[in-house]
Amino acid sequence: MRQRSQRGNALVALALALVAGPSTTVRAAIFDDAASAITLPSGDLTTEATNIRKVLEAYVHAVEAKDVQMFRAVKPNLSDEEEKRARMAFKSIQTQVVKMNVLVLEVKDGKATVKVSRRDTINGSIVSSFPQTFQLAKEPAGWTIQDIGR
Amino acid sequence: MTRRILGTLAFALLVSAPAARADDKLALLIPHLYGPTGLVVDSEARLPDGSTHSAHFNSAFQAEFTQFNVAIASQLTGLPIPTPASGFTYTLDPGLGLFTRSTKSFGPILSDRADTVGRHKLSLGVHYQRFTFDKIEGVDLGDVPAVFTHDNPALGGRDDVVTTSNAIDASVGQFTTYLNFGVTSWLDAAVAVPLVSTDLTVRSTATVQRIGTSANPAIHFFRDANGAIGNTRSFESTGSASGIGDVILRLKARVASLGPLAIGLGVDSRTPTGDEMNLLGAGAWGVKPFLVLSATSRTLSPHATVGYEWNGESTLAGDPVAGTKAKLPDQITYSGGVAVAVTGNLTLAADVIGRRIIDGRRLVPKTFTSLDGRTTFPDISFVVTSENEVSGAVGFKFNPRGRLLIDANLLFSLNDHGLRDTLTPLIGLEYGF
Repeated sequence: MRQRSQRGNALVALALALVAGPSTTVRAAIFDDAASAITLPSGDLTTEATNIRKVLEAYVHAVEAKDVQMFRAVKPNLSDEEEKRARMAFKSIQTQVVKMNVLVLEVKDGKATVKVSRRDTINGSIVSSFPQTFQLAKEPAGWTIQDIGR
Repeated sequence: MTRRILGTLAFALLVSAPAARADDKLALLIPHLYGPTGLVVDSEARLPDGSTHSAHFNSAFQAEFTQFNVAIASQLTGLPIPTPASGFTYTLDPGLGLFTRSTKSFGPILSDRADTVGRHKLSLGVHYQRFTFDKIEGVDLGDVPAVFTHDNPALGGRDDVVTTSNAIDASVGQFTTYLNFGVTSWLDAAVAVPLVSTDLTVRSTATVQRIGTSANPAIHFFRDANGAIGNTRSFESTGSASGIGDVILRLKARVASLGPLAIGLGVDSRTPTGDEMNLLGAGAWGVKPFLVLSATSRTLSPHATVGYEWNGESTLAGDPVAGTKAKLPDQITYSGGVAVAVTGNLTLAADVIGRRIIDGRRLVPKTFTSLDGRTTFPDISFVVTSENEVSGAVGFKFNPRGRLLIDANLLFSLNDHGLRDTLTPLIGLEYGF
């Protein structure tokens, strides 16, 4: 999965003409990049899109690998109580595959909002698609997830 | 390996036990044990007009032992529909975007809980359980005493009685396949199709008790194959049948949640698809609305159910010989218990399962006293009353991988009412898609 995602990053990096800008909002048709768990909208994106995509892919890796440390790396503000919930969630699942279609990506003033449609396959069974919104912030070390909601 | 065993089991149920002959229906085995096709008491006595005396002995055992048929039918109406594998439900933790299994418990085995399987989810299960009945109303089925008295008993020759000791071997195997579909996130539709195999053997040893004819053994006697006469004779009647039982259709809805407490409502519709004359089905429609309360925590999941089953008319409750029908008794069903998630893939379940048969015909042991006022024999009679039949159940559900569950359960009697099996094992598999 890690190899698939890395290949996906490379493909996206090549495919997208990333244009830096102070504020970018993209609402576009979804294209299916089967090589990655994260599907980004087509169109011109800021260079930040690649980095945001990496964060989301790391999030997906953390969920699929049931890796709390990796989860904390992409969401450093994880509280102790949230970490406990994450451990319990990981423990209750045997296998999980996550697919995300990015519907909206907004980047402004070092903040980003990513709205996705997500579909998980848990223990071999598909869970119905559901929407999810990620709030990210750009910190000196890079983008991190600040908040996750519906 | 398990699949092979279950497949062999199902195949064996379908083909190994040939259906009873049309003229040898299992429901008629006991009524026909005595009479022209069974044991006959002979007599060489002459009536005053010179004609042969034909001895007529009657007993509640023969005339009223329909409780046995009804009790077997009642067991068949109590077909368990195992709780769908709703243990495999996951809830989203929106703050983390992570799924957590909503409960570690896989739920009860023979009881129910309010959880539904989930929208457009499917669960499939097969369960096998075998009843080998031991007692009826506390009376050992290996020795059911019954006294046959003469027509119009009177002091003298008509004071003779025939005492019998009856051994009844009855076993019922149920191989149930069920399919449960989540119509919506809160409504399940299920169908349970049982294959039933019933074996019944009745052995009776009858003895003429010469209370009034001790001086003349030719008045009442049994004649053996060689023509010799005697006081005692044994007779055996046996039969087996297999086939589809009564199909049950179920709708169950999770109607409300109050914190950890969930409330469910459901209705079971039993269709008389089983051949009641061969004791494969109840022979009557049945409708059972029920209420389920269950609570969910990480490891402990208590649950309780209560329902009322209306039953239609069945030949088994009437007269199988004459073919007349009577109402199969209604019953109140109830259960309560707890499922404990020992680990993430092992749940232990313990339940008390009961039903109150309303105005059912019940066997009552009694002592028969002959007309001489001195001689007594153990006997049975029947009364119409309402009683609770209470059982306990302990078992486990084990999740070896994916969404597969292996179920095992032991059902045992907690009181003596009804037709009882001391220990009824159940094994099964469930899979959630």
